[in-house]
Amino acid sequence: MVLKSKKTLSTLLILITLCSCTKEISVDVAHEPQTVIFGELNNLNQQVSINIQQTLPLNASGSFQAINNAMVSLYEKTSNGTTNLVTDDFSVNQGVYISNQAISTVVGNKYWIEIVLTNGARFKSEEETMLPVVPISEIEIDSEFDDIINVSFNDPEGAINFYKASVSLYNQGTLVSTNFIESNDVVFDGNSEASLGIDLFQFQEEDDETPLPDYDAIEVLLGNINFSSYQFLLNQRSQIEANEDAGDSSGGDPSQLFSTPPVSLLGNITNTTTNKTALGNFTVISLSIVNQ
Amino acid sequence: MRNQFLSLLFFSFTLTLYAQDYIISGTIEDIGTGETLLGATIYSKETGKGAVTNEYGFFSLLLPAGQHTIIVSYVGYQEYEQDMNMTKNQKLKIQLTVDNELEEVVITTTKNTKSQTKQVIMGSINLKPKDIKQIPALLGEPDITRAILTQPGVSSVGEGTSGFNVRGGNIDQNLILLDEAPIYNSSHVWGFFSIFNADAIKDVQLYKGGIPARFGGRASSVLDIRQREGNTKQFKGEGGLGLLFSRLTLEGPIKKDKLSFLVSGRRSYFDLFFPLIKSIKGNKVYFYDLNAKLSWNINENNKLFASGYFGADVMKLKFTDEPDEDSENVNQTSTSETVNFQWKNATATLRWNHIFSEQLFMNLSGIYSQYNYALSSENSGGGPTGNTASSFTWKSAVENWILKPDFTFYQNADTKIRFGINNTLYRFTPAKVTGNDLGVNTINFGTEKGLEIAPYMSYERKWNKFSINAGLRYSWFGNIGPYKVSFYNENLPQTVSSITGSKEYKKGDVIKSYGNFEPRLALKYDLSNRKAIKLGYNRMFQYIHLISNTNAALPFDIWKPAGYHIKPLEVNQISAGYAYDTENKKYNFSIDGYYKTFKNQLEYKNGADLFLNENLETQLLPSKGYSYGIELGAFKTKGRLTGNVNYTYSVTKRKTTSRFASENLNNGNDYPSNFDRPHIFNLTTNYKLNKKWSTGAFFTYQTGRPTTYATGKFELDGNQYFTYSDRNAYRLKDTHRLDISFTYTPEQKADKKWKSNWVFGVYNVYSRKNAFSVYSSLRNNQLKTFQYSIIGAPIPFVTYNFKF
Repeated sequence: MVLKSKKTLSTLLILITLCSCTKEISVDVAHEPQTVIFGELNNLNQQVSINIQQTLPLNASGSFQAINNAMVSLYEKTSNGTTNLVTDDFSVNQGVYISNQAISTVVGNKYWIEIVLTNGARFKSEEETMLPVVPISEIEIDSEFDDIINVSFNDPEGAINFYKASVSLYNQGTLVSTNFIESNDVVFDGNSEASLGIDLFQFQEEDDETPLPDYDAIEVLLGNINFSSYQFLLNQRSQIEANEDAGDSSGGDPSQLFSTPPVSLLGNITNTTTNKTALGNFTVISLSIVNQ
Repeated sequence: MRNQFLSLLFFSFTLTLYAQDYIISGTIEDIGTGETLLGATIYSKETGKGAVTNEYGFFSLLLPAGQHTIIVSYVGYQEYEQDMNMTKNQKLKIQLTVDNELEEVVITTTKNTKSQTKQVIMGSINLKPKDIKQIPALLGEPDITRAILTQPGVSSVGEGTSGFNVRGGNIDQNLILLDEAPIYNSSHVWGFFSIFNADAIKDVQLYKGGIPARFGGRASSVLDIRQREGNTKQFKGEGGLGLLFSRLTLEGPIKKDKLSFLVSGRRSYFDLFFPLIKSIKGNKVYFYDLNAKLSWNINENNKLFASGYFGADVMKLKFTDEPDEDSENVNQTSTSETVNFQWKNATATLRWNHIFSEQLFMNLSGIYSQYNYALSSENSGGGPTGNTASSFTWKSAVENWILKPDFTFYQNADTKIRFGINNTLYRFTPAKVTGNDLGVNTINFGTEKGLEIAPYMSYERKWNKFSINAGLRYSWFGNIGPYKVSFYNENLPQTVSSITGSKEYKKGDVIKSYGNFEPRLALKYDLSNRKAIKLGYNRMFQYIHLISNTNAALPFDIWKPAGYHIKPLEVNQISAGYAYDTENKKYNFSIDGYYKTFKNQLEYKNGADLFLNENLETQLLPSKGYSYGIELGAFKTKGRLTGNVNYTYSVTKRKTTSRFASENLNNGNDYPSNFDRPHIFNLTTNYKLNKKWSTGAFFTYQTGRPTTYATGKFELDGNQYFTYSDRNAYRLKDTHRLDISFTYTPEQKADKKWKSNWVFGVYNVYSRKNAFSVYSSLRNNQLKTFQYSIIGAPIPFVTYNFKF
């Protein structure tokens, strides 16, 4: 809703600020490399994958610099308080650390990762609980807006829930588009017909010059996540939106009027050496999947 | 009986009326319109003792028995003299004649409102509608907020943002009063135009340094706007046609000299052209203001005023989604969605002026003020035509009920005591969302109530060279149930996952209360009759906060009262100044310095989620800050060339003070606030070329505001992301702008009723592209940095004004 309102405001402002303008400039900023850690552990008995990289200056030619020699460990804490090392057996390729075994998880247990870099910097993600699966009851293309898919489910009553719903579009087995939405349950707490609408395409609008990709299969995931990871997704959303708003190629960009301070992708990982929050997040997510 | 009781009760210790002294009291008004004059001076030539009319045009002056020549003066009016033999108390209704009405620009009186040497209180600025109308304005529409922004110590985040920042205070720290009713959203179109129609306004007073004890509830400034009462002599009208607005004011007596009315309306009309443009056909965007006032002169001792303001921004937008030709869904038809968006202010003020005696004046005000907004959306068909057709309505409101008796006791020509009590009941309804969608619950966060009770007293005294205005206000604020309060694990940052429990408070329960003393002190020492030094100290408490994390305040930003988790804001300010008038009073100079501290300001966590958040405290961080500055100002109020020039140097910083280091912004270090602009230079001039033509210009130069830049990048799942510098670690480029206007007044015969003029001008003459923001983003998967300017071109305007 708020997204729509902001778009509405922007549309209006275009009418009023016909005289506004945007121009490209260059700014001189200092860059201090930072470590970025990103990973996800799900309930699907899969291998866990963690991406570790270093930020690059804005004028660097590439946008990905892998960190390949980190020590990665995945831990769990059972409901009776016992801590176990789940695995520290990872294979690394271009900054992507994949566990050599599939990881089976237990609902109610807590999971986190610890990472040590060769320079001695240590990182630890927040202990997040593997929550119960919230099953998808139905997925349906919106009857009014055909680029939105509605994901329906029964929101558990009484509990505060946070969701990450994502959609992947495939064409003859190839992934052509992916998008996600994050939500708390404020507007549908305990509602047995709770529903989230996800845009099938992340950036594109129908009137864009580039045609939307064709697809023949849709996969929808509904993830039950912890609060910290939800907060991280909000930060990520904020950046995605900022980038989307700026996608307009000419004229003014009145949405700048309503922009909030830009947000770095800080999540649930702490650099325990400096006691600062690190870039990235390690999400513990319990997924329900529907393919169509 | 009653007045004796009051006098005895409050002033038994101050009754020093000697047998040989008598009082003249009464009102000073315009002879042609009957409009009372605020801040007019009356003094005795023999003793030099004088008085100034209050906000209702009333004065009281105690003089020794004998012959006096009374001189009455007011800016823009001919001086008035009257010989009086003081042998008894006397009541006067003094009527002043406008000086040279046609040559409005040339002010000839010896008095002017810009001199800072006379008033004890520091950092107070008075603007008349004439001042406001002389400033070249965006699209030719005289604008009070923009006029305020030409003054030292006042700044804003940028062009088009709502409100203004006074000496380092947030926009919610300004108490904006329209006929004493607080206004919660003072602008149209987010911030481009102020809601105050200059035609309906009589007087504007901004207090930014010394704030009298009768004002409270906001921490940084008071903007006291008074509406005109309406002509008591004859029916009159005035209006204008501009590019954006048209306006019309009608006023006149219902019963001559007894009962008068004023109605003033203004509406934007650019939406009338929408049907011509296909892409925006069917949309409606407009805003309007309606001011109304009834003034009833019941008798010598009683006056009654009823006034109201109603204004709104209305938007109705239609989004049409044409069916995809290659869509797999064959049942698609063209669908559309309508979004209605509206926000409005409504105020009503009922005031009763009562003169208990020549020495005791009372005003009793009953005020209602409301600000609300509604957002509703409807899919085509407008209703539940299928299980996915949806509509919702979102409503939110702030309401105030205020009752405030205010008494002024004129003990003698040198001593005035003012006291009273402000009672305010606040009602905040942050969000009520109803939808017909099965998957959407009805949301109602309930209504948060606050009660503020603030008795105050101030004592104003003048000795030969030394003057004092000392006041004390005690404010009590209670956050009143019913309301649900969440409790948090004290060892963890406040998030929804650290909630340990909650409590439902019942109706009428005091959830949390605060009581604070607010001393106010202003001292002035006259070095001569045109040189003065001043000192001031203020403490202010503010019990409500505007929760907004965006550059421009949005209509759906939330007002939140202090309560269990959110503490009241406390501001302390010390200031010192020097005022100087040249010998002929042609030029008025002032220099003011201040130091101000802010306690319990609210700051927002990075990525704060303020949308429909019942636990707002989880998104906020406590912060404290300080601001200091020096303001130099000069006015020239006489001659063909008039104007003012000012320069401000100021610093405004803050830091977050969470107990949890990881939460703090910028590692808990000081950083500049969004509106910290160290150097601001403003120049406003008006030049009367001849009888027909006059010209005005405004130039401003300001340091660019602080901002946060992208400093690095990385990639996740094929998407590029940025990492950002510390909050406000960089600055935008300095901004400057020149606006000019020309006023053409055709020669008019004195006997002709219809008078008119044309105003032409250009806003942003040399097409300066001032940066509103700089941001980095991806374009065609390339990382770029952009500068956004809200107004990047000269904007010409023309307005036709008339009077009849």
